[in-house]
Amino acid sequence: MMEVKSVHADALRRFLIDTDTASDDAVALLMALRYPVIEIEAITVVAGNVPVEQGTQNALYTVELAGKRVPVHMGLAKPLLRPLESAEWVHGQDGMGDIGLPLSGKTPAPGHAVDVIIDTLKRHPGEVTVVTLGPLTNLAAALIREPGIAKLPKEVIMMAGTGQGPGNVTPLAEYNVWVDPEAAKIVFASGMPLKLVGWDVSRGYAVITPEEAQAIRAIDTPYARFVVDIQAALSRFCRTVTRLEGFNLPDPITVAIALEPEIATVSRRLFVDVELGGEWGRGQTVVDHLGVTGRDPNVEVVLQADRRRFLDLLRRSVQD
Amino acid sequence: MTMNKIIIDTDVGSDVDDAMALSLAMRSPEIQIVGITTVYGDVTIRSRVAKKLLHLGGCTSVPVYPGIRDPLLRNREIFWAGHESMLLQDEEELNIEDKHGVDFIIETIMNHPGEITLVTIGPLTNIAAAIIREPKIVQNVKEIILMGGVCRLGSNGADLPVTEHNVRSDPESASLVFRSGAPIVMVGLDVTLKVKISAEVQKKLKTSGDPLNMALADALGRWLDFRQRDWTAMHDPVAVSLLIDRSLVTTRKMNVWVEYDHRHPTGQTVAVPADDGNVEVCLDVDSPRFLSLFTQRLLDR
Repeated sequence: MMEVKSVHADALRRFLIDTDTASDDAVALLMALRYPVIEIEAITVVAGNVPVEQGTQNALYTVELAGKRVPVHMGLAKPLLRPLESAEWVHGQDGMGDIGLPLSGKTPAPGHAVDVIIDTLKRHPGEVTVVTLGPLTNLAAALIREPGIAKLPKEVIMMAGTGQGPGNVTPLAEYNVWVDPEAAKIVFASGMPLKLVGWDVSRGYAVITPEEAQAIRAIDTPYARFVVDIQAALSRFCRTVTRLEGFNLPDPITVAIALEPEIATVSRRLFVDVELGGEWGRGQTVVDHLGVTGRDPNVEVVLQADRRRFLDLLRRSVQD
Repeated sequence: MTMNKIIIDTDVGSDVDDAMALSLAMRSPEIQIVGITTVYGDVTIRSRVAKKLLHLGGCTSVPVYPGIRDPLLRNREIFWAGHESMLLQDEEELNIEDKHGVDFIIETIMNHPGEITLVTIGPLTNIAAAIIREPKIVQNVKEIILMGGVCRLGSNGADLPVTEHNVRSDPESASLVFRSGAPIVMVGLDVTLKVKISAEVQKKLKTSGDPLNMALADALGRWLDFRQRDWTAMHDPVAVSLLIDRSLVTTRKMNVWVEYDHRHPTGQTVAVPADDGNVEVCLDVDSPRFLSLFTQRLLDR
């Protein structure tokens, strides 16, 4: 008879998730919260899709739905140098599809997100996987305040920019990088061990068709209903603006790759920077695929992913 | 006499004017230095230099907090003259605080709402980082007296450079600070290039017998050698002098923003008069009166 091995403490995988919690962030959070054998040290919230107070409420609701005790810390209310340009037109006024969820009145954990990021990385040097699902403002502010933390994460996996192809808020730029390009510049140049999951990966490998969405909802758990129903506004946006039937899930595929790295099937270490201005350039991720700059690679850019494994993981996350 | 509680944020050690400004503050009963924070380049060396000056001036209890080393986006070169540590001896015991300069700025302002004046005489990285982390300091700081920028709207405008060191060394931070809405007095090159001292002051400082003055004389000599000039401008001391006598300068209310791009150096302060502007821009200074105040405070002891 085979011996069932218990998970040893030293194999524990520690996560910190930074999020501007709206509809696809919430799915990503749920996937991480319901994944076995990881410890989520903290969820930190940043302004982005919705104002930081709303994002914090959305994260707190999701943690409660998952039945987990993970502290949610509120962070910065605006990008480093620019005013916040939120995205209610994508995710709904409450960021969660405007389906009437009770998204107010909960109290976040004490401690500012920026301080929590610094403290968590210092407490577990070399152990923490950081996942960023929103603008990189909190992480950049932590790096400004304490540059030494760049050496501390096990890995930083970012839903940010595009590895290749067009943007989603401008022809060139993806929202998270576009909304706070200076923060992205700081993080990209920080020396942290970075992995980038661009918007293109979600369009290529994390599109949920209307039929697949219905099949997921038919699993008929509170998680399954939540995951599909809060995409109401996103689905409308995808159909009318980005010309997609169904919806794509950038943050969930990013978390999936953080949880199970093999879901990324092709990735390359490349030099990546950000364009800060110009008529069209704001927030464009500059990815040197051909090495023409001669600069050292600083980011592992995910180029392809395993759609079937991603969908399996998503379905498992919503089962009882 | 109103007592001004101030934090001085400084890149002391390169240009001699930071040391002169710290000394003027130490020698002025109108001013209480709550703490000094350092910025830009090797902040440990700069903090030790600040502490050394405090020791020489008999202000050993004023704490010094190292701040941020690199410009905000880390995309700007750092000017390092090479003589920054000349005032220090190798084994010297100089007690620098462990607390980070940015945390000190935030805590001090938030614990004393409306009471603390920030005197910034270096690039604005620490101040920008403090505003990012705690935006409420903008409403709770009494005033920011900011040595930096140049608007070229005074009588000497045509003779002034287009950019100024503290702003162009970290234009992103300067931009954030000017646009924050904080009450700012901009002490730019428009006034500071009107107040020059020469080797004559160096002689007076050297022969005064006061240990702080003698150190200032050495530092001034090194700086004049470095610049290969027989004069240097007292940029930073003008900022401090406003806390002693505001009538030394004439100002006008303006909106100020920073025009910059990715190239280095870049960072021009554009100032436009506006009744609701948050920046009092200094346009003129009574330099004879400033210089006599400055030398009296240092020499008549």
